[in-house]
Amino acid sequence: MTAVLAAAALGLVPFAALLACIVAHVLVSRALPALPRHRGVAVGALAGLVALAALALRPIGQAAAPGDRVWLGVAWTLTYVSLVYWYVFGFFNLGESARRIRLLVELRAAGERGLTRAEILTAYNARMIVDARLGRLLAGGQVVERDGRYFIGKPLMLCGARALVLLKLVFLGAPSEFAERPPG
Amino acid sequence: MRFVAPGLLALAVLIAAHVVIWRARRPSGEYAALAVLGAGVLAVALTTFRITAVSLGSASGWLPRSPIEYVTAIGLYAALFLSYVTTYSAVQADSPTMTILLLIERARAAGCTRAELRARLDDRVLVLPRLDDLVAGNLVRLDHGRYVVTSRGTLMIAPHIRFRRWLMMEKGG
Repeated sequence: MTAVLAAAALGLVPFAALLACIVAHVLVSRALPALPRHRGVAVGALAGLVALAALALRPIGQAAAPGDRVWLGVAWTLTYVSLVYWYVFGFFNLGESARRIRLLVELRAAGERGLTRAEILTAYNARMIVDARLGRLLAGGQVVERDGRYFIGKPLMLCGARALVLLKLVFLGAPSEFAERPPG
Repeated sequence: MRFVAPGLLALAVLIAAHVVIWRARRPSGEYAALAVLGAGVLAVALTTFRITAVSLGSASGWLPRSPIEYVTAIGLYAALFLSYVTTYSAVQADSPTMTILLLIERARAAGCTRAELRARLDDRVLVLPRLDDLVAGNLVRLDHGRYVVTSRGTLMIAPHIRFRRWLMMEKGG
């Protein structure tokens, strides 16, 4: 029983590192509000990595046989990286750019009275979404503007978009959620 | 390997099961179904590892045996599952950013104007399907032509609102 409890406590090491990452992200965001958001996230992730190393070094030396130490370190690092991926893209980024979350925020602010479709579209609409996304893409260099027309800049995110199309074909059998009912 | 291989193997089984089941019949409550599938795969994997480790004997060097190996494998699988679901959410609904990039790429040397992008990506494409998702997921109810957030929706949005206040950030979207 003691061995199981000790193992369970050790298993929490990457999760404790994630907590350190979140705390560091919050502190940096509050202390330096002008810092670009991706930099704040990067600082948080690095702080978590430092916490992971500090928390893991001693238990790895004590708990694992010499041949297993590297693999335990690899497992905890992989776990931490996956948790940070979830935190950044599955939680923080949802509040940052997810349309469903923004709609819920608007509707919650309206309370029990709610909002009509027209009222919702006044508060949050496609024009705002396109402008905000274009702004981010231009700032990040993924899109460049020449004479009022937009072109692909750095191709990395475009590769991500193509990979998502591939995954849509695998999972949904269509390249887009609108593939069977064209927009408009 | 005993710390890493079981988690990766269980994730591979999850992905295979996910593709096969979703292509055959996509469940209506996708994320709840995915959570059940994830838990089911973990249970089957742990049972299989236990049985296989005994029957394979010395050849089972990559399978977990001690409590720390099992806990590490479960922790890794849980983290991989969370990141997998996060990635799948980007597959399920078209991302405006990715759609903008694909539209600009499709225009090639001619490029796109802001007006052309706005014309292709209007409220019917970007906003109304997500509003329908909220109603279908019982996060919002339609009451005499007014959309009202449900208690479930309030429960879901509260952590995001609180967290953005901690970060001192404005409304996203």
